[in-house]
Amino acid sequence: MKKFSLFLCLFLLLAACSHAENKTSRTEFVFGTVVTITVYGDNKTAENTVDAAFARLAEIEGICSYTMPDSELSRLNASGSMTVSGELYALIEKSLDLCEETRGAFDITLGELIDLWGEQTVPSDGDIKAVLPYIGFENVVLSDNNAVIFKNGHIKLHLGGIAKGYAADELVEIFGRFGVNGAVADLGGDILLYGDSPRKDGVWRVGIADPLKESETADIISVKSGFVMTSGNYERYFEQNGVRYHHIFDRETGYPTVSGAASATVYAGLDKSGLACDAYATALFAFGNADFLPEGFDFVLIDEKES
Amino acid sequence: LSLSTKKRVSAAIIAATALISLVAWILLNRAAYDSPTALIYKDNVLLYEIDLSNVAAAYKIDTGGNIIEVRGGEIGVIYANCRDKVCVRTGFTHGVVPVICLPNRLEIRVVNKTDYDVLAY
Repeated sequence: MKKFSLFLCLFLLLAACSHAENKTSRTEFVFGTVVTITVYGDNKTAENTVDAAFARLAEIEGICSYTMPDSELSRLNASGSMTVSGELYALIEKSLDLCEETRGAFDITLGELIDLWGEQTVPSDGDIKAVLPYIGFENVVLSDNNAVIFKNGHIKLHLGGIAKGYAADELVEIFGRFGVNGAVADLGGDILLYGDSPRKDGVWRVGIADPLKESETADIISVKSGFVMTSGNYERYFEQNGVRYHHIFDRETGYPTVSGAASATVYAGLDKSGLACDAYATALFAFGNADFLPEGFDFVLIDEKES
Repeated sequence: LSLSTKKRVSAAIIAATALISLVAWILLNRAAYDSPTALIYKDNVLLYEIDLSNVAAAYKIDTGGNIIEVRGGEIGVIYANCRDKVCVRTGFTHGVVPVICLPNRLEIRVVNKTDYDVLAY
């Protein structure tokens, strides 16, 4: 009896200690936002995975950053016609397909328009209208040997609408290569959930921020493994004369989209792509409805009046 | 040692081990933060951890480039030396979405006991 009691206590002690989550988590500033990567499991493998993940994110940022003057995208935007790396070419190609699929609700050619609005004041109507005839994904031509050609001098590609989604796709490959059992990448609120969560059922629970009640979540969704991408009017915006101007623009009007949506979240399993989820979230926000959304993608749409 | 003394020593060892197990279990299973707590990071280094439910009077913190105001239940950036001042316009937070000043690499998160693993925003 005495030995059994001792054994029981030691077992309880070990069980209590083993309950502590074995995870490695790191936060860095990438893509103009805060990125946190958490990998569960063996410390050494997790550390190496997180190192490799952030190294890859830095590579992607070096390719598709709009603001870094020496990024490959910045050089393309400055030249207007350039032979680019296979990676950037493939990224632009996929993005253009999504522009077409979403009928321009998601469009990567709005750089000049975004620059106009970047001064945090409403540009003049004349300045906006002067840009409109020149923007639109139809003005980008992909040619042989990775050549990207802009049809006019006003085109500037901005990949901010898919960069985090693409990064999530790349992280899936890295987590798989390192044999990770469970990991979360929080790319400034866009989420990749990989493998099993530390919960008993292995399912991840994702809170969807409520854009109307800042301190609350509008919903909590359960996801096994997948991407959860959000676009909203409450993160990046400015106000002028009591009007809020957000950062997602209608290429037809040159002004921020008016769909009644406050936040749009698209989520899907890892058999889909994070890049597509990211683009669809922008389009869902712009349209204010999910009629265009292909099978296999789910969504949470919150309108400006009520959740 | 007499038989009764041996029994008492054994009982004491078992009791102590059980107590340690219980304390360890409680410590490891308790929620990370039982009340809303602001975590202020600069360059990914945790500078301050503030229990927002226990702020008697509002006060300010200068992190170099930003001035943060802490009030009962909420926290916000009231000054930023950068051009866009996104963090100031974000306003005061007492909830889920972080306040971030990218130029000054400042991040304020309010954490609390939650029933989700990660927040999408």
